[in-house]
Amino acid sequence: MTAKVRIVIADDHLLFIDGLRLMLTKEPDLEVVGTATGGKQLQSLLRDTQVDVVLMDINMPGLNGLEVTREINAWNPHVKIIMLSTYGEDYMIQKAREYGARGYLLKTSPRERLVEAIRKVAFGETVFPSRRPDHTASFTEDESFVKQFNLTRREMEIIQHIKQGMTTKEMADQLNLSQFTIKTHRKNIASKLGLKNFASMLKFIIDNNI
Amino acid sequence: MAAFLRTTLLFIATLVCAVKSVSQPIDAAICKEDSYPVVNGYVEVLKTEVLVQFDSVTKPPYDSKFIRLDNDPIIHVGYDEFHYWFRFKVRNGDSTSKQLMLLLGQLGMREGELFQSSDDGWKSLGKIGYSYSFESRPYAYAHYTYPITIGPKTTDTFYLTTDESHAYRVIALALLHPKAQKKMEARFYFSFGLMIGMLLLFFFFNFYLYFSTLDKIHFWYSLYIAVQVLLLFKHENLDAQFLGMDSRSGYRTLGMAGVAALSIGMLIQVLQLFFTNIESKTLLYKTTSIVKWILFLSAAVHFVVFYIEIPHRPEIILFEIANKSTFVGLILIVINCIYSLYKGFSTSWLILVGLLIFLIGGFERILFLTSSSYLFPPSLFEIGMVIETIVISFGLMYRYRVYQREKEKVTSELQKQKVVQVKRIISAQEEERKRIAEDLHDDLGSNLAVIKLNLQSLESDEGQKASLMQLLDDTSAHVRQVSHNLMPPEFASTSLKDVIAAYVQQLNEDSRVSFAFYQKGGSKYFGKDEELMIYRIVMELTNNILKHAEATEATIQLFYHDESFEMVVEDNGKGFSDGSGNGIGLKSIQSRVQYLQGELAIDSNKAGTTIIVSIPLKSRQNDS
Repeated sequence: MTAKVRIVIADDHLLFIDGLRLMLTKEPDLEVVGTATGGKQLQSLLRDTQVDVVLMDINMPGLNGLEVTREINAWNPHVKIIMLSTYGEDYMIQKAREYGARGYLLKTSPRERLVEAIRKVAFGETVFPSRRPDHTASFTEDESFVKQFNLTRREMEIIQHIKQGMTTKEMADQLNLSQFTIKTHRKNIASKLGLKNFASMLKFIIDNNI
Repeated sequence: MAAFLRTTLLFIATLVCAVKSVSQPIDAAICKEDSYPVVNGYVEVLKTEVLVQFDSVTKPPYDSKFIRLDNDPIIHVGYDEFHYWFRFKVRNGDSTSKQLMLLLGQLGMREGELFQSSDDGWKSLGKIGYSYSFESRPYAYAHYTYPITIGPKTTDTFYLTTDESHAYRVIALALLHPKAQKKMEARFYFSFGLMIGMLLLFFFFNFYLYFSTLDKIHFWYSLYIAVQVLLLFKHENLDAQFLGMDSRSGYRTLGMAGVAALSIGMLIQVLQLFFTNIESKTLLYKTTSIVKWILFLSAAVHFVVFYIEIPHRPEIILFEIANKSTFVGLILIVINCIYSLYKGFSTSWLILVGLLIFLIGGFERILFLTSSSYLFPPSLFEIGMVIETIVISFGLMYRYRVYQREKEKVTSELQKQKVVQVKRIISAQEEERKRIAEDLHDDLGSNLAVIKLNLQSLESDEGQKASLMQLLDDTSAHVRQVSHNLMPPEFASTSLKDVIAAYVQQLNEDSRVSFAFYQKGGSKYFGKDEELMIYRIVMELTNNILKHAEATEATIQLFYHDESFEMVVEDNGKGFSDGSGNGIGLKSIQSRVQYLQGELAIDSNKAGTTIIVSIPLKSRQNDS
């Protein structure tokens, strides 16, 4: 029989620890060898005990689970840490990865997923939620060029007008916008295309046949 | 200007030396090309109560009643009721005949006539005075002048009558070589052209300042300058030559003493506006005001009586009132200047310096202390007047600048305070939000997690358990969302771009509007508190779009240009032309933009709304 996975739970919420421990006792191959409600307690626990996996709350009062993870990772990379969090933001998951966590789970994950994750991490895998489909870059769909430079529909419209030789004022009248708005767009388009002045923008537009 | 003054002073010195003290006939030889002899000392005068005709004046008993004039450069009589005949002789010792110019000065003369003895008896050299047109004068110069010719080896006698009734009498005669006359004329026209030109320049300049600042001091000052110009014209009879005032009514319109009183009254008016540190309840201010109104009143009265020629005695009284109050006005101006200086208004120095030459000239003019320049202007008084106008104009400009600077200071101070206040309110709000977010997350969120854990371990009906689980998951998600909106987790250690990207991701999952997010460049200028403000603005703008815009697409773009940060949020909704733009949301955005010391531009039409927040970055670099 293989050795049990030795687990430590770090959370400031005693009730949560108890619930988790209770749940894990049902798994014969997993064993909770200790609990900690703060970073210091956890550190000393890790020094004295042989631990395979730490289930770490990201947000403990006066203590940042991410920071603790980094510290532990620095002196004992054999301890594998799974972050447990109520946050699901991509950048939080990314941070956990950067700080050396091996897994990231929402506290509301179903039991099966949690148990499975602990096992996977214990055997050297990493368990992170898959990235959510990216909804943030959907400016325009069709042309690859537009996509490359992240131009918006409005910006494309203004580029077309520039190509036709319209002045800021004419564009403002045509699009029913203020000249200030047009000017801001022009500045931003130049910035997106990496161009310094109007002449080079015009050349760029014509050269690339936008 | 210094060179100009020096020339004038030298000029006065020469002519004082050139005056010969005692001799009966004037020797024509003293009239050289470069000398300007005043000949009062050679002149005899007959003073009578009734006008004596020329036929009688050359015969007894009058011919022996002439008495010698004092040998002063100017004989000042003022107002009186007498009639005067002047007699003098000119001797030409040369063997050729000689042409000379008799210069009479510029003041008011109703009528005058010069007679010269000759072989065939007496001949008139023509009439002068304001009753006659400029063209009919014996010699076309602003001041009354007679060209006279003395035959070789001859001594001629001259009789001059002047009717100066209802006029301020000043007597001065000079006999000049025609070339000296020409030189003097050239200097005269040049200097007055220059002076009047300068005055007009400052007149228009102050008028312009009045229209651009609407500060009434400039209006009064331009009026004052206009009166100064008028004073110069009148004082030198230039109005007769150039303004078509060469008639009785022309001369009698606006008497000199009245114009002088008006001018000083206006100067007082200007200076009262200028010396802002002399309060209106002080005795000095009140006294000055009274004198000012007396001056205005006496000017007005003087204009009327001068025009209609009332009897002598009341006219003299009114003249004296105008003259004396002008004098008092000048003294009060100096007192006001010194008092204002004493009270700490340092710009008053400028006024005092500007006034100095004018005041000396003014006193001299009123008292006729040294008055050679009466015949040979410009006088100290006139030069001083121009200098004073220029210096005070600079004083007004300086004052305007000082005021402008103070105003800017107050405005920027107010603005700063406003920003501080807004910052305080927003910071308090953020503190509160953070606290609530933490409470929500730590307590509610964690408790929900515990409940779920325990629920999972419960042995119960699987269906019921599943629905409870679902409810729990929904509740957790909701708590997470609310908590996130109150304060994104790890905001302090996460880049703004990531936080906004996560937020936009969430929006796209939850709403029907398709949001696109783009960021160009990165912030090294903004602190976390400022980034939080930017994040809040994004949240509020997107909330507005979700709630009101009825849009299907929206873009959120952040640009970090070299000079500025620009946030452009666009949607394709219905716009808020219906006035919903004044809602609470925008107000709160406005105050956050103010917190960031940026500008908010809203461009809304029926096809969508573009909101641009721009924050200058250059000044931030300098700040930090």
